Amino acid sequence: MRRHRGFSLLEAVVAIALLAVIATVTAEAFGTSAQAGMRMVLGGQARRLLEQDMEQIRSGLGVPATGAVGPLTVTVSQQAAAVPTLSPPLPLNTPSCPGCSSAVTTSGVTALTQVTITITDTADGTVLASGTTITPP
Amino acid sequence: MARSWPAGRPLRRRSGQALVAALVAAAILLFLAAGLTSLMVESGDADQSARTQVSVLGIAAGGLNITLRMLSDTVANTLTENLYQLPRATAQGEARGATSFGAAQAALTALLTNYGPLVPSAAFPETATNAGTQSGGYLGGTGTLPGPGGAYTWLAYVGIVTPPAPLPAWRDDGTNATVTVPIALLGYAWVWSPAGAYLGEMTLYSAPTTPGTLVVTYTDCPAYFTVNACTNPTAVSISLPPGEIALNDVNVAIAVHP
Repeated sequence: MRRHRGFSLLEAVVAIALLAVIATVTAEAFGTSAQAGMRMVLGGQARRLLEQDMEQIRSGLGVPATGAVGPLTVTVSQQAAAVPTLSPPLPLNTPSCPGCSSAVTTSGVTALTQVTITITDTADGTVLASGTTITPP
Repeated sequence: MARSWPAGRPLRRRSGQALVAALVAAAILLFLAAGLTSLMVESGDADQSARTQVSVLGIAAGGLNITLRMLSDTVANTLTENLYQLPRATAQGEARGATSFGAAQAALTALLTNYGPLVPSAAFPETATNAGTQSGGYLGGTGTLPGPGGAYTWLAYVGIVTPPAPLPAWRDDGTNATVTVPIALLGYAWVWSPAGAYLGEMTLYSAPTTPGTLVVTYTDCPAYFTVNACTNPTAVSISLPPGEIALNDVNVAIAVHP
């Protein structure tokens, strides 16, 4: 009788310990999941903001300014666009009219602006989204 | 008859049931935790992927803008100047002969490639663009732009093609003669990740209702005049139409990584 009671107590302790460990893991999973959910909400906001800013630049409506938008911080940096490599590689087509030029003008590309937008979480500085595009001709 | 059980049996049975119940509960909780973790990871990946896709489209638009700038500058500096050597008879013959879409395509391609440095669309591999179904002249450029995790490679082709309507026209009012050739824009940009994985495509096109124009003007002279002032253009004007974009057009093949 005493031996049986001891065995059942051990089983109960094991069961409680097992449940405690798994419950802790589950609670942590819930907590992390909730945090991830919050991060996804912020990420979604950052994505929409980046889309909006990219569309504004692409359609020639100007470059957005650096500043805070709700819980997010938008950082905008600008530089002259780099001249690309011509593709397919030169030589390009040579006009057949006598004396005609075959020059391709690439110098105007540097007049375009390369804009990089970085969106961070103001609270902890985590980068949520970033993108680069070029202003329209 | 009374049932007889060995002493202690019911207690051990109950404790065994408690352990089994605890194990079942633990398994359920474990599955729940694993499911939550998996959902969290997959949702995070999807969210990150969506944000990267926005960056990719920005890079594609950037590549199109750069190539469009090269095209418009080349048209203004080279093609326009070269077209001042387009003989009146040639212009008149091409305009009057362009009585169908196919003939209009051939006429425009001749102008762009005989008088400009634009590569005929047929020269581009069919695997890179679907421009094989369009005739015109293209420029291509490739470069890199920063994005999440490194430098992304873009490749873009932008060209001048023939819109479905109207057809080229020759008009002579007795003082001046003009050939008017409607033109449209067509361009593609593809983007690859820093690791070389293909990420997406953007198409640039002109709305069929708002074509641009290539206009060459000649001064009418008496028939016995054969000097250049009468056979060569007195004005050349090329107006590129506005462009619109489409994302990941299923009709566009994926280009080869430059």
